[in-house]
Amino acid sequence: MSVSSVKSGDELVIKVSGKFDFSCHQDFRATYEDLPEKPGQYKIDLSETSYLDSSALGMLLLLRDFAGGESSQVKIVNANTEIKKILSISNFEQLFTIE
Amino acid sequence: MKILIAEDNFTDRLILKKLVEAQGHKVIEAENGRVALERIQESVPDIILLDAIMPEVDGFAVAKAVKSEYPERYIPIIFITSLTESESYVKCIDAGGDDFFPKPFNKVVLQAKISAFGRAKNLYQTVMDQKKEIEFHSEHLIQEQQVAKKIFDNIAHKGALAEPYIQYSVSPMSIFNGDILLAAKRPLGGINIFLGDFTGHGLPASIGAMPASDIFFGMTSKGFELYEIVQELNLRLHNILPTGFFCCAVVAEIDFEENSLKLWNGGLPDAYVLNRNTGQVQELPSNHLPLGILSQEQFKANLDVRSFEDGESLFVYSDGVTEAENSAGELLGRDRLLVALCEGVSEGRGFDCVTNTIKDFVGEYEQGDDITYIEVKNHKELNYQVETEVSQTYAISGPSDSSIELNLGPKSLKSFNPLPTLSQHLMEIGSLRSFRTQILTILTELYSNSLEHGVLGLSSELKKSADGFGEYYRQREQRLKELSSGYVQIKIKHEEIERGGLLTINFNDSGRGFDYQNLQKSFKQKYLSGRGYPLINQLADSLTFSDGGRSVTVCFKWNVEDV
Repeated sequence: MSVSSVKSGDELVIKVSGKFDFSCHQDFRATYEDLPEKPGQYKIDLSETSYLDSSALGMLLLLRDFAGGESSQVKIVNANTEIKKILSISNFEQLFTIE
Repeated sequence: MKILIAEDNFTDRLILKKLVEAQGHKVIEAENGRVALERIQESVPDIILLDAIMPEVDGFAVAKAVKSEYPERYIPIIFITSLTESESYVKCIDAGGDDFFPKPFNKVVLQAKISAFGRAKNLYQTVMDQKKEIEFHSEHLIQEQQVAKKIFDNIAHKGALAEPYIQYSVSPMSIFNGDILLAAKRPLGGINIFLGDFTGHGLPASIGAMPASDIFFGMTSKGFELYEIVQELNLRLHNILPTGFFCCAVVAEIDFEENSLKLWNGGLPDAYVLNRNTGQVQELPSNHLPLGILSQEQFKANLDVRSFEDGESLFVYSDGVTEAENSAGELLGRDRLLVALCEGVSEGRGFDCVTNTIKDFVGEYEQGDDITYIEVKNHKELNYQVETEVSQTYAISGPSDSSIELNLGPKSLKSFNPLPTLSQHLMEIGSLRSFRTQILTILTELYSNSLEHGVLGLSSELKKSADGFGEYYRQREQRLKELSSGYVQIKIKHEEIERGGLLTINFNDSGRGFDYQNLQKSFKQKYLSGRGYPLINQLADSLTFSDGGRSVTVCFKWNVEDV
């Protein structure tokens, strides 16, 4: 498990590698909470994520809240089929842009 | 530190005593093994300097005795030795010795050894203290969980899970894994099911289960509609759960009389309808966000409504089933579950096949997540039976000589369910509580007839076929949405009569009315049974129509003897 982030322009790209579960909690929050400037958009790159559980869904909701809730712009990209299935069971496409 | 010196040679003992005291430690002396053991009995030293060869009891025996008597304590034993043969060293170690201090004595070496053991002792003590603390907390936690579980069991009691047409699997401590499974009989027959999976583990996951079960049981028994229960569950969980916590759930209502299934799936894996007769397995996928995420304005409690025929059953599970792990770290997966369901469907053994599959797959391997699943079969309720209520006598009390009138316009009809309010008022009349089910049944049937067949003009013919069933509810929703005029008027009066009471209920609607003459004839011939007016006719003392079928009046008389 590792969480990394890159700020490019107004967008913060967060990448989670390996298992996205409760053990990422601290690292995931740290990527966006302590920035000197709040980004306008967020992109969660799941290309290297192998697994995602319900606590990860919770973390995504927390990020969405932080990013402004209804008016937030959070994209989830490059999820594999399994993870897409989990996201769609929970109907997260209603809250996030999933590409 | 307190250091015991056991040495039979007086000179050696004296030298050692001086050396140790010079380092600021307290010394206890013993001139042989027997005395050493006595001194230890009186007060346990921190470190023992021990001569191996002594009269009466030798050093090896002293070491053995100390180690066996104080297994929980760390009392380092340093053998004073002039021994040269390695065999004797082995004997010292076997007896429980920790180190050696060779003759002739060297002050610096002794100092180094004593302070090294002093540090080790402190470390040992710290570890022991922490171990005790951890044990205490762990015991405390288990106790707390047991108490919490008891409280929870009282709130989320088994309800109707013990009914013969239900099979379920849920671990006794599942609540601390965030799983909750509830079933409650509806006052008008049929059953409501709730399977929830809260995010997280432990106490935080179980806290949301308390209000959830309260709402589920409370609203079900008061006769609220399923969509209202789902809405309330979402609202309450949205208010109490912090962001990031939510509850994936299936909430379902099965009506064995109408053969219908209403289901809401938010975030749980596909539920299945298994058909024993055709061998088909049909998916009911999640099409909502889990409970507790959306605010009330954004939340939609749209239900999937479908027919639920004799021979069909509903299977619902939480992801603990498909995530069950075997010793090789493989997950059970959806495919294996489906294979099990398909294998069992034709014999009506879906549940058993799933249970066997999980058992074979997981083996003896310790379970990580929790496994919760349930199957509810359609059992034909041949004769509609009104439940016998808990026999409890109530005196005539409350508004026993009162009447209420409620007029519902199109806006109210769209969004308001008057039944819980009405029944709540009637239940204030003490003695009527014994007839709760009958009265609620009468009210419900009258209201749905006035609304659906009267105001909305829906034909009950539609509901007679499986396909028509969904169509009926689709049209109901559509017409209700488009409703711009129309009304339902409800008048209810209760009066005291000799040895009892008389309840008069009148419903009036804006619909086209219907041919009630035929209906009344059929009551006499008794070949109509089931729901609707025939049912009311059985329960009430009289049922009369007027105004071309637009107005219906029901009288319900009760006697003190029946209470």
